[in-house]
Amino acid sequence: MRVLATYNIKGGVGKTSTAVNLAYLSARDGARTLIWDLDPQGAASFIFRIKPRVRGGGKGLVRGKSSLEDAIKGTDFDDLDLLPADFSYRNLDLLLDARKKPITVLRQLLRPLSEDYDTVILDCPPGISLVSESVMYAADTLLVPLIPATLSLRTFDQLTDFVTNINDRPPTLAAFFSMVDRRKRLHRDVVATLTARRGDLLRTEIPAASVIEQMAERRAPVAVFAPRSVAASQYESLWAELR
Amino acid sequence: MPDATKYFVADPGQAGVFERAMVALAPRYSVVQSPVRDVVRTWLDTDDWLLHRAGLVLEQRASSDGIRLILQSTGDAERAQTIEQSTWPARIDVLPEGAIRARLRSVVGIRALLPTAVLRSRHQDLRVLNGDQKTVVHLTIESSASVEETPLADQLALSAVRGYQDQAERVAVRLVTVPGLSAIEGSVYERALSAAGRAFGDDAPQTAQLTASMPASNAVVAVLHGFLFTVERTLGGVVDDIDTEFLHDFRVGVRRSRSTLKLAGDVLESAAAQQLGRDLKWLGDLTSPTRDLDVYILGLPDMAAGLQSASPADLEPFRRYLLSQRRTEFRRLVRALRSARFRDALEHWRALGLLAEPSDPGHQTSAGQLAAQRLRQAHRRVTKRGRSIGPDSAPESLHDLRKRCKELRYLLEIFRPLHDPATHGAALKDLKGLQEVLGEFQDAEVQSLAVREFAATMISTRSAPAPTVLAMGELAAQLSAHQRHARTEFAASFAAFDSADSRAWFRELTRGSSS
Repeated sequence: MRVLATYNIKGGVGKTSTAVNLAYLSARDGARTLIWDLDPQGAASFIFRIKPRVRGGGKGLVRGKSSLEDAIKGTDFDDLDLLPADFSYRNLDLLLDARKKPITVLRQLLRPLSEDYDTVILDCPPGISLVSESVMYAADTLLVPLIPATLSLRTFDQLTDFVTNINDRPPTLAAFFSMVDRRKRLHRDVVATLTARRGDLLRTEIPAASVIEQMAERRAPVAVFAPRSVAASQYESLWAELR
Repeated sequence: MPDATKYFVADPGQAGVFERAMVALAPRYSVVQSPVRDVVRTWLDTDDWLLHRAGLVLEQRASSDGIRLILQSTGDAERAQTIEQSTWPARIDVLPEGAIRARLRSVVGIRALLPTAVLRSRHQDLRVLNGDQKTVVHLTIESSASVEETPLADQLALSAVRGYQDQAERVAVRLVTVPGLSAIEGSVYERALSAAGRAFGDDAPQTAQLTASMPASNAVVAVLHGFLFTVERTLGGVVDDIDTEFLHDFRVGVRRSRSTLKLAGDVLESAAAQQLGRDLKWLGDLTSPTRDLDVYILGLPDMAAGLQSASPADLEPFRRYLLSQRRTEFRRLVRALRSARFRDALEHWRALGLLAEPSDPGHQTSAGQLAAQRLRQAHRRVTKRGRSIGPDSAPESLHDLRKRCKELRYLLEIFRPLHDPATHGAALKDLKGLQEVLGEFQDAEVQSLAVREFAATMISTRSAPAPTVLAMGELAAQLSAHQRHARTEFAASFAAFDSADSRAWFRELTRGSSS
């Protein structure tokens, strides 16, 4: 079982869109895939038309009183399941803090699923918190969407330092530019500068495209309702780099 | 069965059943219908039902959309994969690399997959949506279905999307109210199998109902006919060379029959028993060369992996040589299995029941008495020979002991129905341990000698380059080391077999049988 997580300290950079589209592509390739919507806003759950509700809430899951397996819902797509968000996830930090070795909890919760899924994608809420640390500890690969802004490099450098210091098993960082508008000079310049300074960025850029915004309206991954769009093709490229 | 799908069948006397079912769902759910398509469903398993025994169901589903291989297992999500056109029977190597092949390999190993039932039908998939337009239930209407010429009733299959079992229950409740639609137990696979005249586990011989009080001659004939069932059932797979285990099972039937005749054949009419004995010896000798080559070919990758100085690639000419020899021997075997002599042998075997009479009709030995007497004798022979073996005994003494152990094992298996299962299992445990050590000892010796002989032949025919000869030398050395290792384990395994506990189990068995 391979665990990927979308993460950025900032919100609105394309984490959920990335998680949803990559989960869909993973399942389409025949890998049994689970997406865990950890964001209490429940955007990924909404896109897959699944109610953002988990019996027993985050407390039940973290304390081991309710099972992750019982909370999983099938999506409309073969081989793709979703663990829904729950509004109680807003207190996940506090719940984790009450446990011993809190950053290991998510990884422990996922362990029983290793026989059932080939790929797990964690859609992480923004911010730096025990939840994000726990996600970083659980993930094999951390997918980091970067918007083309000067501060992105600084944020990414900080994240790299932070991840390197995770004991035991630091995840691989896989950063890529997201919401890129090639018509804007600033975007083009920032992409060029950052790519030159950091040779470890993924090659694929995800465009700022209205078709991605339509995911919430169409309630489906881009490849389902706009398979020939540039955005769909870029998510394919991104998945090909990660596969 | 791993299939959690619910099935409903339509009453053939009523028209429009499925249309009424859709009407019944309409007030609460929207249903999205896919186009109707023709589907051929082929279920696959090994000849000995390894997938079924492991709780797996493997189906190939072919339609205008392509060919999908679907693997279901108990407590696990279904796995599906698109494959190229496949013809069956075939080994799983024909499947593309992936999770399904990996899972199958761990269960079926070297066995081929064969079609167990083929169902042709018209399929229509339907999705039942909730208020969020989310699919919560999958329905499939399967109509105009037939297995070969046998028609099956039109059916509706219902499966819940994970996490929506409650919705599926509600849909099922609505469906059972539809006139002409009835819920039924069992999967479509089970119904297709039944229509094909098959059943899970039908590879096993119809075990003779042995009782302790029945005449011994009848019991022995029933046992021999059980082995005949195995031989006749595996014959097609041997001739078609579906996989190596058909020949293995065929030989097991022959070998066990020979042992039965040797150990208990004196209760049969002697001329018939002697004729069958000659036939069985011929069959044993006939099948040995191909089976021996199968064993070398199957074991070669493991042996090659254990090479220390030579490279596994050095053995490639040896592998090709073995394959070529195997082709030659297999052709010879098939010719013989198509001969009149083989047909006659089967006739003699089948007719045994008609001819069999106790050699002394006045002395009606019962099956229980026979079992007790022969087991006591066989156990005594093993114990006596085993105790006489010391650290310096010749290898032949161990080979001889192996044969006696086999006889004892066969007797235990033949008369198993007469024994208490717990006592039988306990008696068998230490015998099995001893047989493994003796088997490893002798197999290593035989194979080591064979490798040397193969090398000599290959050198004389100039088909072995120097690196191959060197690698074969290393193989022979490896096998000799295995043999020495097995020799060191003999004393402990025999001591376990000859322990007071183990002897007590055998005493218990022979007492029970004679009662």
